[in-house]
Amino acid sequence: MTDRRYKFSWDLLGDIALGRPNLGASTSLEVYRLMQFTFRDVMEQHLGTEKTNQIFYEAGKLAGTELYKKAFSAIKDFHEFIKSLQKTFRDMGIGIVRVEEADLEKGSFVLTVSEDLDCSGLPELGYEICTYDEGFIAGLLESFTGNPFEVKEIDCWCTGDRTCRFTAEAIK
Amino acid sequence: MSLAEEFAIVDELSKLVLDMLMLSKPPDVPERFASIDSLQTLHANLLSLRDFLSAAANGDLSPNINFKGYIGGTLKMLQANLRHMTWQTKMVAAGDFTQRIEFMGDFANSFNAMVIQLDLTLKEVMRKDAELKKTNTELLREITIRRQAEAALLESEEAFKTMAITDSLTGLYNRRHFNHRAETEISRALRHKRPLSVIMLDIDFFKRVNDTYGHHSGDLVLQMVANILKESLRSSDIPARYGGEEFIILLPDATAVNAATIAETLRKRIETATVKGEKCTIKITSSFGVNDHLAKASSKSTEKILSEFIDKADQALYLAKKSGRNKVTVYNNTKGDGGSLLV
Ligand SMILES: [Zn+2]
Repeated sequence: MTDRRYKFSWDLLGDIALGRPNLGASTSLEVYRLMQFTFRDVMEQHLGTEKTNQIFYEAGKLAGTELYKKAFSAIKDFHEFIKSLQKTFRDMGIGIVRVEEADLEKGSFVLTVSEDLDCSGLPELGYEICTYDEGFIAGLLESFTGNPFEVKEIDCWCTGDRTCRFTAEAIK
Repeated sequence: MSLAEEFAIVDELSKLVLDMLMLSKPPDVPERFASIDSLQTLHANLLSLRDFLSAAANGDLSPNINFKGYIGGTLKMLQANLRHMTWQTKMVAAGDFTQRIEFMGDFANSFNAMVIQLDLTLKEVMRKDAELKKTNTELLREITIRRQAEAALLESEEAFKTMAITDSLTGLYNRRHFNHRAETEISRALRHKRPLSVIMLDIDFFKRVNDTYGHHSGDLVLQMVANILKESLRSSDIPARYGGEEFIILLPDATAVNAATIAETLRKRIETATVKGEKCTIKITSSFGVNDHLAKASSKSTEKILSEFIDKADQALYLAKKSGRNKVTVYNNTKGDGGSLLV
């Protein structure tokens, strides 16, 4: 596509302080999920389930890459990076990120996200739903290490696990 | 099926579940219920629960909990908490004392208190270590300063000692030190019955040098003679400036004949040497008196023996002066105590 209208830039998010002097920077999670699940619905009707998941993964990855550039690009030490990530996820209300295993040399990680923005409290659906988060984590890890990563959600609130658990493996 | 029969089946199934919970070896699903899927799932979940709990009780957090729902989810939360705690402990061990555990009640509080205490203790240890290193450095510096001061003191002491025994113009021993050394040598010569000689040396017409060329030139002449003595003598010989333009040399283990030969060498070297004055070149000569006659120890003091010993050389020198200067004269005692002088 040559003529892009929606190419992402942080400027597109606008000046929130200026725009919402009374309502502020936060909104209800219901509204966030309303938007996400209506997007899923319409996308699935137009593009099918697999394509919809792929779009969510890629959008999450773009978000992770952009957030890395904005917030973490100066950090060189891995543990510093993880700490900063934990703090940012918490401050922004994305979720409580915790590390279960981290082997930087092998490029193998197990992370959990509690109180996840996308899925915590959802009804049991029998399938993992945090595709956007998978992409998000992949974008962050790829940006930090410079290697491509495969991120899978192996436990999800939606499968009755109460904690979202992700494995991330470097693709070699 | 009668109500009693139905009750009996429920009872059997309840006991099966209870046995799954209670027995150390879990029972299998009875053959006749094997086709009931929900019972198979319940059985599998309970087996999985047993495996996880047994492993966790032994500290192994790796088994997967492969069933969902409230119990499975809760166990996964617990597993996630414990695994995360393990990772945090590793981070603390690697020196990251900012790690804090959440959501685990008393355990979290205790862990966090321990990490904070560890951090404080380590900081205190490091502070004390730094303090100790600083004190050590200061101490080392203090020691160096003291050593330097000690060395400087020794050096100045040495310089002072040298100054006290040396004639500052010529660098030769002064008269006082010569006498001291000479008394020692006399005692030794008498004790071991070894020969000992003394040479008195006087620069001829030195007053004329001073009057004609000035005191500075006179000093240069004295230094020149002193240098010739230093260069020509053996290390065991003891030359000294005896006063004015007079020099004296003590020669252990040398007879008058040996000493006269040495004196003759010195005479020639002085005669041929020159000193560059301000306007012209100065040449000088010198006269020598030699003596090796040493009184017997007997009743005399070493001091007295020394003064007589030198006096005899002086008499020989007097004779050298009287008979024309620039020559070596040896004291001869063969004719009795007054003695005659041999050229
Ligand atoms: Zn999830």
